[in-house]
Amino acid sequence: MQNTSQVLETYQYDDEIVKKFVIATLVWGVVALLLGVFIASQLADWRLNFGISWLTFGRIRPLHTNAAIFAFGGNAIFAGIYYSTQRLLKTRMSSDLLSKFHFWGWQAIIVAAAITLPLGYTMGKEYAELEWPISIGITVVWVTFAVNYFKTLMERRERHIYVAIWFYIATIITVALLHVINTIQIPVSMWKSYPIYAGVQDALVQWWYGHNAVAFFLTTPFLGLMYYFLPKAADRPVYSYRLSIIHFWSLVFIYIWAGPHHLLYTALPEWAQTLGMIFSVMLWAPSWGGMINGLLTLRGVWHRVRTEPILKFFVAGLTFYGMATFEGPLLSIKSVSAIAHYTDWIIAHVHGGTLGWNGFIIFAMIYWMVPKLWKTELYSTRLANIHFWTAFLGTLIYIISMWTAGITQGLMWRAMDSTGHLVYPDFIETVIRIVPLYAVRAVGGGIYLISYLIMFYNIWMTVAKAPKSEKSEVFQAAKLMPVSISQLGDRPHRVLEGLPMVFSVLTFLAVGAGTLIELVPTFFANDYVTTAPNMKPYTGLQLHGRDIYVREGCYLCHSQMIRPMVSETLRYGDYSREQESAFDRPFQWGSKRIGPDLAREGGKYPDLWHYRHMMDPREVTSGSIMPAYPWLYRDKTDFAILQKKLKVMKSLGVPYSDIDIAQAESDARQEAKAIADGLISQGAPTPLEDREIVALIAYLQRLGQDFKKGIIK
Amino acid sequence: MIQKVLAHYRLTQLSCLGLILFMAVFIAALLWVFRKGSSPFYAELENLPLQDSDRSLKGRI
Repeated sequence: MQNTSQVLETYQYDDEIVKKFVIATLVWGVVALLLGVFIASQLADWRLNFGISWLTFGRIRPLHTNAAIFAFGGNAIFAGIYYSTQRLLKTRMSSDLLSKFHFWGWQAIIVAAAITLPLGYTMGKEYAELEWPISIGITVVWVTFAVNYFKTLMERRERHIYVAIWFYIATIITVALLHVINTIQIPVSMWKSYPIYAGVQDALVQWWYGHNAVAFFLTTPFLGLMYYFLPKAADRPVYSYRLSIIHFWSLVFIYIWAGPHHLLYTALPEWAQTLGMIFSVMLWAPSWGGMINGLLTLRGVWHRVRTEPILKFFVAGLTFYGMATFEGPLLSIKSVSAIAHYTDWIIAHVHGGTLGWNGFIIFAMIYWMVPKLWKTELYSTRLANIHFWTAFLGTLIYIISMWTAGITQGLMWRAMDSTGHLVYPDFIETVIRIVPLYAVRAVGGGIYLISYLIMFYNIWMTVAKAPKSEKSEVFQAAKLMPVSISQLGDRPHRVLEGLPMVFSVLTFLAVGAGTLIELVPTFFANDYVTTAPNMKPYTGLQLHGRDIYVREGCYLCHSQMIRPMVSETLRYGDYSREQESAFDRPFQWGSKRIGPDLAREGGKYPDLWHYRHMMDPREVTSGSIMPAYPWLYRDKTDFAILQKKLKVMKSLGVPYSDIDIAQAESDARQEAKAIADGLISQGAPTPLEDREIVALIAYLQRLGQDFKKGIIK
Repeated sequence: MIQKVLAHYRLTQLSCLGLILFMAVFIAALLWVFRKGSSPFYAELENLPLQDSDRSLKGRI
């Protein structure tokens, strides 16, 4: 089998691009964590937005999540992928130019996000907030990355594809698919667009995206990195390569479909339900297999964990991964979800995953790569150990405080006395109880930030002390010769596991099949798409108010989805119906109740209540932690754009007549004047009718009215 | 809400097909990795990250 005609080729790795991504990771990490501590503090004390619109929770929280996931996590993933891919494939990245375009393009997107999100330019869909020009930018940069990556695969000098590369390929393919499908939208202006999906359908597509963004941005690439850097750091191969393959296919093929698959079974014949149940149980093995595979890789070198911070980070990170993948399915159990949904338990869960799993794997990777990249030693192992323990402490304080807050509030919302009344009928009672825990959480996050700064200093000193102008090493390897099937002889398995293109197609098919099977039912079950015959779409003013609601990020603290549970219907009113959100682009069900649900808010309070509430929430709700929104009383409503908005909505199928569109501006002005006159007669100062607060009140008073008036049953 | 929407869904054949397809792939993958004679191959693969690039000249096809 030995091929004697081997031609040695020389090559160098492009480590400059890895260094760039490492530096970007370090810098954006500070930003992401700082923003996190900032908004955590705002929940502990509402005054911390200083009355400035672009520092307010609703606008900064999307920036925090985007910075943490796509800036900090994204750059770290790219650093690790560029480092390990070149070495695993024994080749330089195909094009330095494309690598550079990828780097600078990605940073440009982050900067664009950092400018637009605080200004309120948002799609209003969690983790997919960036408006359409930036969305297109993401697509372009991602495709550049993909082209460069696949070209590199073709130019490789190593026949076999290590499992880490599989995980990277799955990431590249799936993220593209998720991003494109979820962000299809029709622009109204440069910074405003409406999604083509509405209501329930928008929600299903959004959470198909949301669930799988976690899987394919925060899980598969990190597993790939773990499968490369952990064996490197431990200096021994992964415990079971077979398990890693099973792990891969179950993640790629089934994770994408895992969300509602339990629900899909309910309509199936009994044999299929039994099969489905067995299958669900079987799926526990691979996801925990991943953690066990990582931990057992350390067999025989556990003593090194005591002294080496890199291994400490890996062990703790993998343990957090195991915990998060256990907690996730637990939270999806209906009776657990009934308590946990909308509470801080979910916040605890995601931060266990991000601070614990993603963060720690990134730290391990950075500590391992930086000395290699700059050809030096780590400045201080002691500081790295201190970093580990403080980061661990910060994470624990964070998670425990949020678990406590979540379960406490979840139970208080449900508490009913023997006469069938809510024990805590005022929502604010349940908030005041957990505000101290918000302060504790901010402290936990602050400790994590400090620990991060310790690493920052450590890496800074490492790089500063590194020898200058070190030439990069030159390597030699044989050119890869084409192989025909007949040459493979007794080892035909290489046909599959050695052909990245075939493999990529298979991965795409796997992800595609999962996507179809998850999304097709949502397009066919269209009872909710047809609206009640006499149901009217939002008026121009209401629609504009809704866009203000989206802009201010109200959905980050207020849900619009009352679940069919006694405690919820007692508190908020009758449960939400599918048709109610038929005109909602984007849907605004929300995922967290820092404040109460608003699905039946319309008509609950007079206009003046809302007017005073947005001016100073504590004037009408003692103890409220909501910030004040003084700019809504200063900024003028843009009536001129309404015609365009209604036109776009009509093109999406919303039943506006031509007269509605032609008179959009004058109708809205008339409606605004009526609301403003009412408020002025009760003592509100003039001028008022052209202010944004009026449009927002118009929208809030519409919420739930279709149901209350009996238009929807 | 999602549950209610999916309850409207009547194309049960597709769900059955998906379930069987996924389960079949899962079991096929299990059998595939434990196929006879694959141990040396996987032993070689799992050492890929530990090779230094200049030590790549050992026997390949």
